[in-house]
Amino acid sequence: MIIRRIEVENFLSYYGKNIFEFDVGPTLVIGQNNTGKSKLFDAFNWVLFDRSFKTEGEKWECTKDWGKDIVNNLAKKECKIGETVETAVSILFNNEDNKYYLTREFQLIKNNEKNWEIPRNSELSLTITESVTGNSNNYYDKEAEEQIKTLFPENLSKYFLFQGESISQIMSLNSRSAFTKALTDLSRIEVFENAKKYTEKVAKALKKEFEDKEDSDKAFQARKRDLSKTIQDLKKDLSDQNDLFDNTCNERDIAKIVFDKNSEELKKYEECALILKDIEYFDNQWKQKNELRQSVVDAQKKEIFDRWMYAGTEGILKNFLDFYKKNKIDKKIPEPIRQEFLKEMLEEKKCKVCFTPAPIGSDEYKNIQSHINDKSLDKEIELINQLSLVADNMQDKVENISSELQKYYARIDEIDTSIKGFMNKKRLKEEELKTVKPSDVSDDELKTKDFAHLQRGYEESKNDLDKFKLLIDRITGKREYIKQQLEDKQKEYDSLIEDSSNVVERDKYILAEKINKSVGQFHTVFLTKLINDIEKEANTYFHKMTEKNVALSGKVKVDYENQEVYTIDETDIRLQNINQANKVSLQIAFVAAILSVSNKFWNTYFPFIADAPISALGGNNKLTAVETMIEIFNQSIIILKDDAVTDDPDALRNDMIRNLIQMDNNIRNSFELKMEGETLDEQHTKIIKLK
Amino acid sequence: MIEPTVFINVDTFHYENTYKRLCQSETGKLKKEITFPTMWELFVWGAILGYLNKCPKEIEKRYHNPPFRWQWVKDPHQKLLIIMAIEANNSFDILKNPEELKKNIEIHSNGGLDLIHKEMALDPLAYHNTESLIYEIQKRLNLNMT
Repeated sequence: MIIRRIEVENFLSYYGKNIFEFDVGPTLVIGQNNTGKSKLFDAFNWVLFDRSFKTEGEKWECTKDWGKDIVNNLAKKECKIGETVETAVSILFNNEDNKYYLTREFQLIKNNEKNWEIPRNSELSLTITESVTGNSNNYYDKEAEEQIKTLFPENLSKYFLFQGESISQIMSLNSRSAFTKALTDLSRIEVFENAKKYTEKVAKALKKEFEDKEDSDKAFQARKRDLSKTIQDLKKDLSDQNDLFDNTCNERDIAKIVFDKNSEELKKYEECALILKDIEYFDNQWKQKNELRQSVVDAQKKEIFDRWMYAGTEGILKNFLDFYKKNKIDKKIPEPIRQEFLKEMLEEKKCKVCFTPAPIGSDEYKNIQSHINDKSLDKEIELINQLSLVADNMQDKVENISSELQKYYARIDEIDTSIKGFMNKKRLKEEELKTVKPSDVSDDELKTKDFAHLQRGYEESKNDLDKFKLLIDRITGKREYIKQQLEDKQKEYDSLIEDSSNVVERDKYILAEKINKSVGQFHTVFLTKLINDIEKEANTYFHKMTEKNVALSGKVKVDYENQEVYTIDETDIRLQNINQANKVSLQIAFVAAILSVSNKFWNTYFPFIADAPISALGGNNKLTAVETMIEIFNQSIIILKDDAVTDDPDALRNDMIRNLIQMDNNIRNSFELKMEGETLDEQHTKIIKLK
Repeated sequence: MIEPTVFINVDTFHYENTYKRLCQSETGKLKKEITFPTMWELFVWGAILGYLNKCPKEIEKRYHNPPFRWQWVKDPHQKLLIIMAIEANNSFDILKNPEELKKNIEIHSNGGLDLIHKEMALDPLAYHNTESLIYEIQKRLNLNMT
């Protein structure tokens, strides 16, 4: 089966008629967030199954639930009052020799700007044209749905319509029902199951005929009846045990879902708690460094008002000192004369500066006497001298301010670097928290979350799961015991009936039983080969996707006995608590293997349409995963987020993917989606054909 | 000599617009967060700017209630202001007229406050905390500390 085209008209973000052409092999569709990538994926889902994913509610909704919202806003805006606006999605595909053209349409009538009338629900039409004869048949609604169901079974849709962002739901593949569906429906082994059932029925009928016919030997007849009754009882016991096994497995699956959910929630919150702790630590460090910074600044305040505010006054101080020295040399500033010294001179009647005699009454005596009590001059000279000392002292200090300021800034820079570092670390952790934190939980709720309660929930669900595992082990043991008994009794019976007088009935029964066994063996051989092939293919893909990442490891194990898919280590021990990237790789590898093996067995191909299939993988693995998907599917339409503009190391770099698009000759079609329009009700998807 | 108890004159404009803004505690603001914890520090800062930029400015209208006395200006700031006054006048004679000396310092401080006021008008963050004071000093020294 090859999808040739999808036409998307006025559907969600698509305005007017938009056509994507496809071919055998891979098609890559890239676009940044909110450009209409998932809406394209929705278009496939809508036309095939009348469902579209509602991001707000995180669930699939049909047209009835979507109502007028399914119609593009710009188309609605441009629709005149009283007129009709139509949404339609069509796909054209080939299967065997026929062409299929499937269309889903939906109409709205604009009563006024706010009121829309929905005349009827969406309508489906299908035209099948035979390539050889050119004859066409048309089917509508229910009939069209029936036709489509046979080609695109809805219960398998999550495998060929692969939604990477709902990975947790897809991982319920580990449960028995999903596993069985995946294996039986995709690989069509139910044909063998039916054959087995039929031969069993025939053998049972012929056995009854043989048993019902009385044997001539009464003792033999009695022995035959006893043994037959015992075998019948044992089979009933075995059937009861099988039912019990199935029921217990189902209960175990439910317990496993609860355990997985609790485990995942606890893990998420534990991760959140660790991140929150880091955030708190970095925040405290940041605060402490800020306080330290403030204290360094505050400590500088004394320096500022003691000295630093005189920065730049060196010139003034120097001028003053020069002026002072000049005046001193010019003797304009006399040395201060001490009063005691003057008194000594008057007592000794002699000038002790120039050693001139100064008798009482002489001019010299009068001159000395005139300086007695000349306090003002004394003070003025003393002040000038003090000023010179202060200026001298201050000059050195002022000259040092530059280097002190440099030291201060060096210290502040050091603290600022530290503050910035803690702030960045805190921001990174906050970003990390956003990716780990459950979307419906606020930051405040996260801080007050009762971890003990979560832990209890986890422990209880783990105990429940362990209890079922134990029970299953017991039932398995009992089943083995009954099987052994049944085998012994069957041998005894087979040996006994060799002597039966009803030869014809016995031989018919034995022949039917042989056919039944052969079919059973053929079924087992086929199944074993099928499982081996799936496991082998899955391992090839898984290895391709994980080989470049040392953090991812293990081998895929398809465990038919327990109907689970998981990863094992080199010693065949099941790996526990595998990470999300490993789960995604395992998931893609298994789906790819099922599709691939199914294609080989039955020579038919499901297209693989995937929306963000690799969102949970790391950077290197993303490209490898894309390359692997391109390689393994007969037709793949892979929609990828183009997040090259981010600094996230796990982002898929658009230069890498664009390079792949250009270089890989297998990729014949590629599209880039962009958003056009300024206002919300004008925005719509624009398609750019890259290849 | 300037008598310790004489009051320092401040222009009404600067008392209302610069002193109140930079020296007074607003509600909830800690003492250490005030840029100039005491008025005399702002007076000295202004005077230094006035002498450095040689921009004395007459006090047009004295604030009716003089805010502080000369004695509140701690040493060595008193002496350093006198040194700058002598340097500006290129004469020690100013020491003989304390009134003239005080006035010289006052008008230089008033001129410096004008510069501060203009800078705050251009940059609302100028002089708003201790760090901004350090930045002013850095600018004055033409130091590149990025």
